[in-house]
Amino acid sequence: MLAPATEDRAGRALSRWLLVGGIGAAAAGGLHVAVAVDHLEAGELAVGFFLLTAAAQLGLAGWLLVSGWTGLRPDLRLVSLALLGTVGLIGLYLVAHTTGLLDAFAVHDSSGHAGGAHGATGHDPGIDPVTGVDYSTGIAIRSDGPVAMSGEVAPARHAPGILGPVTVAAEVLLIAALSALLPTAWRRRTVNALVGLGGLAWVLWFTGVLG
Amino acid sequence: MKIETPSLNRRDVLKLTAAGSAAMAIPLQRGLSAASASELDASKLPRPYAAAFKAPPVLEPVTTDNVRSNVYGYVPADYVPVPGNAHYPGEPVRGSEYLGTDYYRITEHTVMVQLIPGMWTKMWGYNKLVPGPTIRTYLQPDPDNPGRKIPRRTVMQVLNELPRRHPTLGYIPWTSLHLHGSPSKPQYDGYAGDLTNPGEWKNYQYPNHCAPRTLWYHDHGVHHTAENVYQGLAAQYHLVDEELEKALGIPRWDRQKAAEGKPQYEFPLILSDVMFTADGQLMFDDDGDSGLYGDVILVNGVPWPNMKVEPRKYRFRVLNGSLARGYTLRLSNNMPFKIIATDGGFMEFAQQVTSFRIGMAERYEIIIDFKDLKGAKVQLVNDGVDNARDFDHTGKVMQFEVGTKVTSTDGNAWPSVLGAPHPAMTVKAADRSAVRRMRLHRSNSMWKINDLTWDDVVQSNYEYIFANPQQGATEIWDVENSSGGWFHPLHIHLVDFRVLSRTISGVTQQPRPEEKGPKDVVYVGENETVRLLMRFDHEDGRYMIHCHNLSHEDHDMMFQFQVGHHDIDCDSIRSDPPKPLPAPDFLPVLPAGVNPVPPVPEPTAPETPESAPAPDTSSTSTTETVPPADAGTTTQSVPPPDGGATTPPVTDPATAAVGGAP
Repeated sequence: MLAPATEDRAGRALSRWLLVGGIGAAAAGGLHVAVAVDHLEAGELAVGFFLLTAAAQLGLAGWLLVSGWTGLRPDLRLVSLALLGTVGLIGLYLVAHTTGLLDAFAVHDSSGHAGGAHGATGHDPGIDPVTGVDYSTGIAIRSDGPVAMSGEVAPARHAPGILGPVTVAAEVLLIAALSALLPTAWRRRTVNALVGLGGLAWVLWFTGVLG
Repeated sequence: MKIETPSLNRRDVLKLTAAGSAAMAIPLQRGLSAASASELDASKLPRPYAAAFKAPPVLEPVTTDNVRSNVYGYVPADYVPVPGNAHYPGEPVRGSEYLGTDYYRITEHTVMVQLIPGMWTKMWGYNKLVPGPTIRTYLQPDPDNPGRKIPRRTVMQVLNELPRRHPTLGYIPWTSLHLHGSPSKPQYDGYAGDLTNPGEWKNYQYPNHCAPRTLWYHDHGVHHTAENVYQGLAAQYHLVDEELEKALGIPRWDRQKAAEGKPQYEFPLILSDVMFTADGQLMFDDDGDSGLYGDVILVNGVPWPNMKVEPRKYRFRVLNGSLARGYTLRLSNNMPFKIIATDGGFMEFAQQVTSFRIGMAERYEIIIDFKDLKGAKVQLVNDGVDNARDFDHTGKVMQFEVGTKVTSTDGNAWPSVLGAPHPAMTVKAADRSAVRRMRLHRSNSMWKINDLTWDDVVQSNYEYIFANPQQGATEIWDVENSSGGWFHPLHIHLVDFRVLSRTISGVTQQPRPEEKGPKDVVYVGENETVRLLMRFDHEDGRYMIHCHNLSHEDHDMMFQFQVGHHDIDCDSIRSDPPKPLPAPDFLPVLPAGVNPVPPVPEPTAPETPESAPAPDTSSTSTTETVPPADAGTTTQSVPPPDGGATTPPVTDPATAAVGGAP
C-alpha cells in the first residue's frame, strides 16, 4: 500500500500523463483526418488507412482523457498496444518519405510551390485571336515534383509538408506519455528500444537505405 | 499488474527526444539537403573532369550562291491588298544588302545522347546534335565598295520533325527559331506567335548586317521554350570578321586549319545544367515556374569536361545556355584573363578580370593564357550568384589540362585595345527621345512586366506594345527588379544596348567590367534598377522583350515593342508563315551576277472594296516554267507551297525552293 500522500502524488501524475497522452492522441487523430483529405487522390486504400488511424487515435484520446477524468488506471495491455501502434505509424511515415516502397500511395505536394501558373492559378492562355492556335495545347502537364522528360513520368515522392512533422510531433508526445504510463522496468526497456530505433534510422539514412 | 507512478526522468526525455528527432528530421532532409537534384544513383553520376571536352561541329551549308541582293522573301500570295496600302502579293520584302547566301537545313529531331557514361538519354537536337551544330558566317570585302565589308545572307530551313506530342509532358512541341543577337526581320525573329508545328517547316533568313559577334540560335516556342531548350534545342552561331581577327592577332577558329585537321585555339563553351532520373533520363522540375537548377553542369553537352590545351592563349565564346542558373566564373588559381567581347561584339577596350558574372543567354568572349601553366591543371569554377540553388558539384565547370608543347603561335595575342567602339557604345544619352520604365515582378503567381503578361499581349491581338520608337530613335529604359528573391536576365530583341548604370538598393554604380560592351541581355539583379541606352536601328516591326529565365518567359514575363510601322512586310506572324512538310530542296546554286529578283509588275490598285470578300485563289492554276539549259538564268514561275495563287517569278531559293518538292 502506498502512503496517502504518495498515492495522491501518483494519482496526480497519472492524471497529468493521461492528459498529455490524450492531447497527443487527439492531435494526431485530428491531423490524420487532414492527412486523409490530403491523400484523396492517392486512392481509397490510403484514405481508408488514414481515417482508420485517425479513428483509432481519437478513440485512444477519448479513452485516455476519460481515464484521467475518472481516475481509472488504463490497462497496461492497451497502453502497450497503443505504444507499439504509434511507433509503427512513425516507422511507416519514415519508410514512405525516404524510400520508394509506398510510392503507389504518393500524392503530389502542391503546398511547397509558390508558382503553379497553369492549373494551380487557373491561368489558361486560351485561343490566339489572330492565328486561332489553342495555346493550352502547348503547355506542359503540371507537376510539382521532378518529371522525367522521356519515358514514363517519374512518380514524385510526396513531400512531408507541414502535416507530416506536426503529426509526428504529436505522436512523439503520445509515445512519451504512454512510456511514462508503463511500469518502471518496462519503461526503461521501452525508452532504450526507442533510442535504438532512432539510432537505427540515422544509420540507415547515413548508409543511404533511407533518404 | 498494477501501474506504478507514471513518470519520465530527464534521461528518458532526452532519449525520447533523440529518437523523435530521427522520425521528424530524416524525411525533411531531402528538401533541405543540397547534395544533388538527380535521382540517379550517386555512383552512376558523371565524375567531374573525367569526360573529354568536345566542341559542336561547324555546319557546312547545303548550298551557297554569290548573288547580291537585298530581298528577304515576298509578300505572301494570299495577301489581300488593302486600299491605301502599297503592298501587294509577291512584292519583294527588302532589307539590308548582302552578297551571297548560305543555305542550311536544320532538322529538329529526337536523339539519344550519352551524357552519362554507359547510359543513353533521350533529348531533342538540331540535326541530331546536342548542342546543335555551330554556324559560322563571314563578313567579306565588298568588291563594289572598296574598304567596306558586306555580309552574306544566311537561310536556315528549319524542319520540325519532333513528336506530335511531348511523350511525358503532353504539349504540342511547336517551335520558333530565334537567332539571338541578330537584327532579323520580325518574321524571322522567332516571334512567340510564329509557330512551326511538328510536320511543318520554315525558311529563316538572316541578314548578318551587324558587328561581328557570338550569337546563338535556340527555340522560342511560346509556353514551352524552357522544356525545348532544356532538351537540347540550342547552339552557337558566329558572325566573323576574319580580317579584323587576323589584324588583332587574337586566337581564332581557322577555316584552313579545320580543313587540314590542325589544332584550333578558339572554342565555344555552352554552359547548361541538368538533372537525371534514376534511369538516366532528363528530369524537369522548375519549382512552380521559378526556375530549373540541375546538379550536373554541362559544357557543350559534356559533364564537367577536361580539355587538353597547349601552353598559349585560347579564346572561348562563353554562352550561358542554362534555364535559370547564373554563374560567376573564375579560374581555380585566380589567374587573370581578358574579356574581349560581349553579346553584341568586341569591346573597345578588353577588360582584364579574375572573374565575371554571366546570366542566362549572355555571351562573353574571353582569352585565357595558359603559357605559365605547362604541365599543370587548372579548373574553371563557378562561385555562383545570389538565389541560385547549388549542389555538391555546381561549383565546378570544366578543367584545362595544360600540355608542354605549342603547335602554333598564330593568333597568340590579347590586345587591350580592340578597335573603334561598337555603334551601340557611341549612342549618346543626350539624343534620347524617351525615357521609359519597365518593372519586372511577380503577382498572382504570374511573372509580369509592368503588370502585363504575354497572354495579355496575345489577347490584345498582339497590339499591346511597351514602346513605339521610330527607326533611328534613341531611348533610355530603366529596368527595375524590386524582388530580393530573383534576378531577371532581360533580353531585348533586335537592338544592342549599352548599360549606363546599375542602381542597387538605391546606390547607383558603374556597370560591371564585363558589361562595358554592347549587350542584348542584361542581368537585372535582386533589388536593382539597370539603366539602358539604345538606338533602334535595322528594322521596323514588333519585337519581344522578355526574361531569359526561360520558366519566367514561358509563364509569362514577356512583352513587345514596335519600331516604326507594322504591316505585311514585317508582320511577325503573317509575312512568312511555316508550311507543311515535306520541305523543298534548295534550288541549284545561281551563277554570280544573275539578278535574283526579276522585275515584278507593279500592281494596279485593288478594285475590290475593303469590305468585299477576299478572292478565292484556291482554284488558281499554277505553272512551272523551266528555263532552257543555256538560258543563263534560272528564273522560274513558282507555285506557292499551298497550291494557291501564282507567285511572281523569282529565283531566291529561300522563298522559291521547288526542286524536289512534290
